[in-house]
Amino acid sequence: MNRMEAACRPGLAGLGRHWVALLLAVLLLMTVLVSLGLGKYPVSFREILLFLQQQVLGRPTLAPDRYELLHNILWEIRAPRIAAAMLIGAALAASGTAFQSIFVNPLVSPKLLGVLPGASFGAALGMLLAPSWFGVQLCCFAGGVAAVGLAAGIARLYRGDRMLMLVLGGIISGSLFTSLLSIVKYLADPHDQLPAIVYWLMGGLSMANSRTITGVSIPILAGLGCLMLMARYLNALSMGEEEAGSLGLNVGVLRFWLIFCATVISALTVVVGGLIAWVGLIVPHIGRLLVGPDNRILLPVTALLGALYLLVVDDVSRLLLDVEIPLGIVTSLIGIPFFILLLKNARKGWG
Amino acid sequence: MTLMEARNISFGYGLSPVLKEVSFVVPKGNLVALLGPNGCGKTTLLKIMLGLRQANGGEMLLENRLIAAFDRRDLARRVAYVPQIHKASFAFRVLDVVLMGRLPHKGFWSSTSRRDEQLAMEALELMGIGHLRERPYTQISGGERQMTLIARALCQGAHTFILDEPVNGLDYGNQIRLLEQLAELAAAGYTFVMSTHFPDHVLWVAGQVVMLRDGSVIAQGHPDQVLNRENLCRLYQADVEVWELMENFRICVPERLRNRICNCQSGCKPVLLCNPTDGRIAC
Repeated sequence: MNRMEAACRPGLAGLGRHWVALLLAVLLLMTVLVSLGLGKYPVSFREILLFLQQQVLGRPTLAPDRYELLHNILWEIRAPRIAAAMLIGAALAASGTAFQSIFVNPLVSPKLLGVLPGASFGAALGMLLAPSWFGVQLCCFAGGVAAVGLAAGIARLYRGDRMLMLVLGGIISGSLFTSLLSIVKYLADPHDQLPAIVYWLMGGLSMANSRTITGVSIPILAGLGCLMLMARYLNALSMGEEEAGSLGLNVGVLRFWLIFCATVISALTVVVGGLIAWVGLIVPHIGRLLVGPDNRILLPVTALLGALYLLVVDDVSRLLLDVEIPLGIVTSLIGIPFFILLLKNARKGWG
Repeated sequence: MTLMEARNISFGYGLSPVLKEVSFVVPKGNLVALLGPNGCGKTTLLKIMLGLRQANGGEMLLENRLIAAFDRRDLARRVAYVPQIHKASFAFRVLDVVLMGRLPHKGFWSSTSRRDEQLAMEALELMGIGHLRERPYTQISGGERQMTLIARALCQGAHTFILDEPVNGLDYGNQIRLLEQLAELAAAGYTFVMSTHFPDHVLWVAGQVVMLRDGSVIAQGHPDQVLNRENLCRLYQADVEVWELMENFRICVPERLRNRICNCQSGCKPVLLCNPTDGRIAC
């Protein structure tokens, strides 16, 4: 096979598509172990393994006071944060992939449809009004769903290209919620509320604790599972609405549930980590370069890639400088040049 | 045997009617061509035949049952859609595109089997593009893409294919190859309904033609009977003659070409001089 043909083949030349997924899973596992050891208080790899052995198998391998310390650092502080990074990365990347297929447009992202702006507004409003952290999270989630609902409502107003109308509706809805967010910021107490809102919206995982993570992990994992179950239908939808309908699919119902799942999981990421942009746009493209556009393999691969990407970025953001750099800023700084590189492919058709 | 039948189909967006009382039949194993100017309602009619749009009035029947009464997947196992060629957004493998044709045969929990792949490969081979199976759908030519979509329709197990301007955007050679392929499949028992902008193609392959203008049928029947100067003029507002050069061999000749051959204005019928070395047409 000559080079031209090799370049035309989707997937890594010669390497099966399923092996890519397996390789990524192993890589992710190793990154998790390394990330556990990284931080202001470095823990050796050997100790991490001993600790995990004791934690999981219940066999005492460490001195009790050492175990207490490690339990505090590794289990109470670092593990939730690592889990949060992986969940958010996986959710944003997978929902981005799903949105791109649903809208037959490789440039759509959770942000474009208004999910992230809506969720941000909800969160900020919650910080102003809600008495508890749980209330903030609830507002945040409701905001995300409301924004997509508004986008869909605008799309229904007029007859025309449904998908285009939805994307435009998303832009309108996103702008609306961004302005509403500004109002909330303006009204917020500049001494404590405003900084809290601003820092949170910059995106970061320092608020991640095991209770929040457990709370959101179930719906996020369920949403991811649902998207993956519907991967075949997602493939057909990405060929266009009418073709999918002619293949016997109930396009309206399917699209509703797919958008619902993708919206829920991306709104939940704002609940945990604030506004983290670009992951949902960039990672699906990398995934497509690796394994092609078939969602049956692409969705798991982008979820793994997203988890890996955000975990590494979070490690960088907490280790690079003495103070933590907000995660959303780092993902944008990495995402923008990367996206410019991807534009090179825009003419040739994506991935 | 009548496979599909349109009875007084009407359709409109708001107050503007797109189709007005359209009726025609699609016999089994036939190739029915829809001819008409841009915006005459051809595509809308095809979508109603596919069950993708609901007519405001009238009935669309498949095997003597209302299209609307069919379960979606059941309908998809009988009637397949070959859309106009379009730039695909995602680079699926050609084989994966054809495999999508198996969707109406699959429940929610059942995945693609060896048998499905086998059927998809058979369909690709039948269309003569088996060698393209691993190629990305975005990087093959328009003609190959159209063949892929027909292979998908075959893989879908459908007996009736609805094609929306299948030769649109294809080069001349691919147009001929595609039409030959359709004629062959029709001879094998498949039924086709296709919209087209080429009266000549209708003369080549169609067994039936429905002429649609402003949402109404102005003529229908066998091309030899209805594809004539009057109807073409009404359809396109252009003066086009249809010459029978030999038995079962007709071609369309636009006025300008005709004038080049004979300028006598007397309405004479030019005849072909059957001289193989000098195939001139004289008046």
